[in-house]
Amino acid sequence: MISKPGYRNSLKSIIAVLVLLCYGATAVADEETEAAAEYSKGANQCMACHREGRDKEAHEIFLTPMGISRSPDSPFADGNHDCEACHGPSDTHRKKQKDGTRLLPAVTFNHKTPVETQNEICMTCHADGNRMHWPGSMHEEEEVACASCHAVHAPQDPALDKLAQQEKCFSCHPRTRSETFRNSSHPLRFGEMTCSDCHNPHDGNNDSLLIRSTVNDTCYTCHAEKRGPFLWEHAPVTEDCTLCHNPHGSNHAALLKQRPPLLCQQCHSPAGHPSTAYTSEFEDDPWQQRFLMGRSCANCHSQVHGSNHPSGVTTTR
Amino acid sequence: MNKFIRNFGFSVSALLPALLLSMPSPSVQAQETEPSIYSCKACVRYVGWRGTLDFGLGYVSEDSLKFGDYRGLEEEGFYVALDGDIHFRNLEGRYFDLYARDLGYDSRQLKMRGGNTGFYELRFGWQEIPKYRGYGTQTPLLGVGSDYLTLPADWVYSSSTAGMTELQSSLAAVALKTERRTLDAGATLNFTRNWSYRIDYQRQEKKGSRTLGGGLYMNNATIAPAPVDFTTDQFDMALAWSGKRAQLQLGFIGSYFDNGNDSLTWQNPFSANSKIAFFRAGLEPDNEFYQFNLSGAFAFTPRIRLSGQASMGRLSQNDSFIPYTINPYYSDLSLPRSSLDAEMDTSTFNLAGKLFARVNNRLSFTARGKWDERENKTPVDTYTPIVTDLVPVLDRYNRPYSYEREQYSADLRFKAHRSVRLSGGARQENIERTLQAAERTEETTYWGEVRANPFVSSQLRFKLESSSRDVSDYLQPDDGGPVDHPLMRKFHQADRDRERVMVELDLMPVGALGINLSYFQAKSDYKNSDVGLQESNDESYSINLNYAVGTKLNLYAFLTRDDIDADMLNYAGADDIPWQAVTSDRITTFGIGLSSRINDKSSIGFDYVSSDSTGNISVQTSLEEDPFDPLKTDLTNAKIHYDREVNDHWGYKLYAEYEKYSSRDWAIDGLGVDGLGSVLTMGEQSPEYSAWYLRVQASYRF
Repeated sequence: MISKPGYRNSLKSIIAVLVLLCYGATAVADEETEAAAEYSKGANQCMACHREGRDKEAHEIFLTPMGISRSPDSPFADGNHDCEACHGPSDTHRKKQKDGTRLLPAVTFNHKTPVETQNEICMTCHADGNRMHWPGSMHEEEEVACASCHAVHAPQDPALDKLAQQEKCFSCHPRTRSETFRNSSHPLRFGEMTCSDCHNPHDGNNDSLLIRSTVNDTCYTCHAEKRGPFLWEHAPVTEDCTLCHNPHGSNHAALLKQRPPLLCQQCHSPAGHPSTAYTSEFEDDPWQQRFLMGRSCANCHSQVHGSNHPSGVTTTR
Repeated sequence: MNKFIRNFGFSVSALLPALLLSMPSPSVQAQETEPSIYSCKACVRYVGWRGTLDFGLGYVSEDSLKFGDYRGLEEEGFYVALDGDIHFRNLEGRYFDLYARDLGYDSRQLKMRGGNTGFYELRFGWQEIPKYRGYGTQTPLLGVGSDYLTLPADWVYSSSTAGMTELQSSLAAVALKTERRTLDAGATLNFTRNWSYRIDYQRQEKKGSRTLGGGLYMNNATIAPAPVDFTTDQFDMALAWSGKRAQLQLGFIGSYFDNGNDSLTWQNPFSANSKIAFFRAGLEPDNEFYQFNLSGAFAFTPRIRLSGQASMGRLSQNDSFIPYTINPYYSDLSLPRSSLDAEMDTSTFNLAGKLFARVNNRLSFTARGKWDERENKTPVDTYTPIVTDLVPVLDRYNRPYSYEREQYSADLRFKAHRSVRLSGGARQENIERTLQAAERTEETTYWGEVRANPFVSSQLRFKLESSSRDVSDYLQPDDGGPVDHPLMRKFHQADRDRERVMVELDLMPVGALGINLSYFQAKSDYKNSDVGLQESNDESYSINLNYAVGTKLNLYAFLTRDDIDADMLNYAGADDIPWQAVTSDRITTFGIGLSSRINDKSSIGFDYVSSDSTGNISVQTSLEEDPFDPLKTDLTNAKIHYDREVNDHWGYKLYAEYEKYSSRDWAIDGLGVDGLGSVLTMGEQSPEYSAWYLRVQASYRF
């Protein structure tokens, strides 16, 4: 057991050690900051090595809108340190070490720099518009780096190309890729649509990172005819399109999760044809087959999204 | 091609770059800011025009509407293959980009943007997407594409398709197709470093024809080709302010839908009775939607941030009603109003939004709240529907559904160790509905996740989620219509327990090789539903391989297996005879491919995908009936391309694609238009094809 004076002395010693450690750590940190804070003399020096034909060529950034700009926010604007505007002060990277190796730039856009640090660099200039809600968003919390999807040195950023963008998304969402090859799917594999037509990967507010506040509002951007309001509404339609449809792809027509009549019979069971068991025996039954074959329920009830016909209460017209 | 020129208007495409490049220089302040690139001697200055034009011929080996779906290559023969991209840059920061794809096909795309980086941008786009809506379809109805369809003069009426003796001789093939044309135009102006304004306009036109079932007469129905003539104009604009610690955006969305046809009228093939010689179905009414958005974010400190969004809008529809029926016997039956005058307010608030706080480098916390409301103010009246054009049903009143949805969530993420992250959270979703069986459902979800790096260059992720949904009361509404079985619980308003599991393992055994293994399962138990959906199970297994050697070679392979099962129970109405349906979909998708830069002059790529799916359905009563024949869809697609640069300006591109598709669907195969005695269908069949697409293009670079 420690006596009181001994306890006080020990406490003083611990505090002293902590103060020294903190001071020392601060001093070391300051030295590192100071050492790392040196900028090179700009792109002229960077491009001497990273020119076309070299292993880590970066010349194509001058093919992008970011590469040549009069905007004072451009990395290449006067005083903005060119390449080091993003890669941080990296004069030490320019000089070879005694062992022939080079120190890395202050910021590299790969696994050697923490994702948070990488993204902070990008968000310095790109925190506006639909990236406003990036902090705390699903992708941010999953530590997705901006550079995982975007290639700022490439003449055309793959994230802005309909087919290349999908490949980026599918690398983390492999099931969605397979869904696009199903019997019924949106035309992603043909390059006529892409993920960002419905999803905003930078968003943090809407469900499933959708571009609109709700699922239905997102679907209505291309399917406004289903918006209504109709005289005779079909309740689940007004609530959520995904109750019946799988937007990424389905084994059944019209992206339906289940095929009629079973899709409809999951919710409808009045006496009569809605609740009849349409077994395989009915395929050739001249009386019952109209409820099962062809378009099944939709042989008659084709206006399932709602009807504005005064007699359309059963969605048949 | 002429059609394209007429539709798109090359004058517009020619004017835009000229307009962009003739715009006045940016502000004086900008002119005084000399980019340091001027002093960079090692920097390559890509100024002026450059681009690539690819032009040649493509050949399709087989007629197939399904192969032409979205591609615009439905007929055997030659097509003009025209692609390209054009770019302009100057040292003042002005730029122009044009991307063109498949200009010679019906699925063409064109996209342009230009401006001065950091000051303004103008955008323009055009896209056409063809979509076929039935394969092998035929009809005896005349006037396809219009809103008035008649039968041939010598038509023989019968109460059954078997008795329509002139049916076969009257049939004409109909390629049910819609074409979506989308025009985009937009601009972004950066007034100052903090203020910007964006406006985007889009016009979507969807024209063509589709199937529409209806025309109830006694026990009969008809599938008719219905016209599609939709036009939607959308405006999306936003005024934004952006500072270092705060951002604010005020936006407006307007969407205006117009249907060129308010109804479809077609001749009754089952009876010549003059009172019901024609049927008339209503088509989608015009509607308008607008919404104002206010979105903002504020960083109290670099680690504590509050953001939110509020949206308020209104959806309205006031198309004139058509009469109850075309039957002249009821011509005096008056409607309660001449149009619906429907109005619905929509609002979404994320006002409390998201409080995002990083307590320190190891712990972060996120809380969210969202309120979403649809308040339907449509007037309620009593109607006397004449459902089959013969006899009125009991009076019914319309039911304008409203709902409110509340969502709250809180997540914690903790880095327990340099290589271990623990996360967990809770979510609550409450939905209140009007005029429906379940007035309120409450669902609580808890989840936890472990993410670890057990070895160097590996990551394991394991996530568990458990949710429980409770329904306050389930009382079937009395709306004067058919009454469900008293034990029915509609699946989205039923008590439910759901468990989700996700496991992912990422490995990088050597620097160039990446392996991803993943498993996902969502299992739902509708625990208190005696009638309706009982259980559903959704499982997916996936393996992905990627091998990249610098920028020279990239190899990939993937295999995904999806199993989707559902189990439902129902009662055959008054007889109270229970029956069960079990469905399962099995889908296996496999792909392999490579892309390689062979040398400085040539590159090659290859992609192969096969997707096989089987759908099994078994509906059984106490008689233990046989299951249905499996639904089958098999797709095989292989693509290869070879690009070669011959000299500084010229090159060529070779492309070959093979696709084999076969499908079987017991519900339509072999039926023909008269396969159902009481329904005159359009004879749709499951598509099947095996087609090659070959393309040779000369490539000119400048």
